[in-house]
Formats: sequence, structure tokens, C-alpha cells
Amino acid sequence: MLDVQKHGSTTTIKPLKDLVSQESTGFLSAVKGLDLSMSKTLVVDFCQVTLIDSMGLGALIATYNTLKAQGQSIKVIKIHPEVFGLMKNMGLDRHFDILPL
Amino acid sequence: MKYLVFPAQLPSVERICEDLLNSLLSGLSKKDRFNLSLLLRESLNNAVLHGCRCDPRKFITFSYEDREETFWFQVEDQGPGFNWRLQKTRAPSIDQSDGRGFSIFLHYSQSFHYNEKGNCLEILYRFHDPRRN
Repeated sequence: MLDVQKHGSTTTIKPLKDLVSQESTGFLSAVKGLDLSMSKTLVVDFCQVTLIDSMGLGALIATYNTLKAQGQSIKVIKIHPEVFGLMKNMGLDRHFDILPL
Repeated sequence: MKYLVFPAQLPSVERICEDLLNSLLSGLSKKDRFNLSLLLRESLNNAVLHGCRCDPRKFITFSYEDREETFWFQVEDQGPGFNWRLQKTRAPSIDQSDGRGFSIFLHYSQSFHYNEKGNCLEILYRFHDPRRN
């Protein structure tokens, strides 16, 4: 489940549950269902995500790949410390912006 | 040592992780809880998704031992196994949306190893912080 807000050329989405296992598939489907044609940047607000696994990371990367192919970008913000550490350990910060809580 | 046997379905993984972390490991620090939860989910999901390909007729055996400073567990599936030696030498590229399980085991466990066939994974986790019991 996602909370979605649009401001100008930025769309902000907020996953309302941890991005693990089947939730990750749901996240990806929900993002695919969004109309992002007017958005340059997709901001993902992680303030309610306290746990993420490789499926969740995979969902973020798949989103990044799709947006990149369309000339758009992704930024993940308000990331809890442990989740932030994992994203850094997996090298996601080398490819798109990730910002801690 | 204790063990659980469950059908190869993702909701079972969810239930096991929640039960284990909420009861048995309730005295963990936030960091240990996150790390251990990650390792448990990763290994169990791999067994369901890749080992048994979500076939509910196949079963997974999860064995564990909760010690004072460490948590040891083993996940064995009824799948054909895989060539983990090959996987161990390959780091996923950023464009790849899967294949991060190994990196997670390397970063977050004290040690891990597979059996010869590749259908049984053993992980040792060392707690970072003292536990409150």
C-alpha cells in the first residue's frame, strides 16, 4: 500500500509497510500503476519502512531501472538507520540518492 | 536444538520470522533484531523461492539454537540445490534486481556455509549488543 502525493514535477510515494517478501511485489505493482509521465523525480519516503530484504531492494532497483530508461530519477528519503546501512552496504547509494531519517 | 518443518510458501516464512522475533528473541537490540530478521528472511525466502520454487508439496526444515552470544540456524529445502560456488564469486551489478542474498549473508552473519548439494544453508549470527531478558 502506498501514499501518493504530486507536487509539480515531483511525485512522492510513501510505502506504509516494511518492504519485505510479498510486500515488495505489491510495491512494484503499485508503482507501475502510477502515472509518472509528468514527473521528473520519484521520491520514495521510507519513514515507515523499518525492514527491507533483498526482494525489497530488488523492487527499488527495478523501479530505478525503469525510471532511468525514461530519463527520470529516483530518490529515497527518511531512511531508518539500519535500512540505510543495508542500502549502503549493497551499494545503492552509488547509483541514486539515499538520505537518512 | 529446536526445529520446525513447514511447506514451501512465503506466508509461512512471514509467520515463522514474526513468531521467532516476537517471542524467543524479544530482548534484542534494534540492530540485532534487524540483522537477524534480515538473515532469517533471506535464507528462508531463498529456500521457498529458489530451492522449492514455491511448491507447497515440498517442505523446508528450519533448525535453530539460541545461545547466549550467538544464534545458529540451518535451513534445508527439498529442492535440487544449486552451484553456490559460482554464486559466491559473482557480485550483482546495480541493474540486477536479484542476487543480493549472498552479499547479505557476507555482511551480516558471523559465518555461513552451504552443504555440497546447495540445498542446506547454515548461518551463525553473533549478537552485537547484550540481550535484555
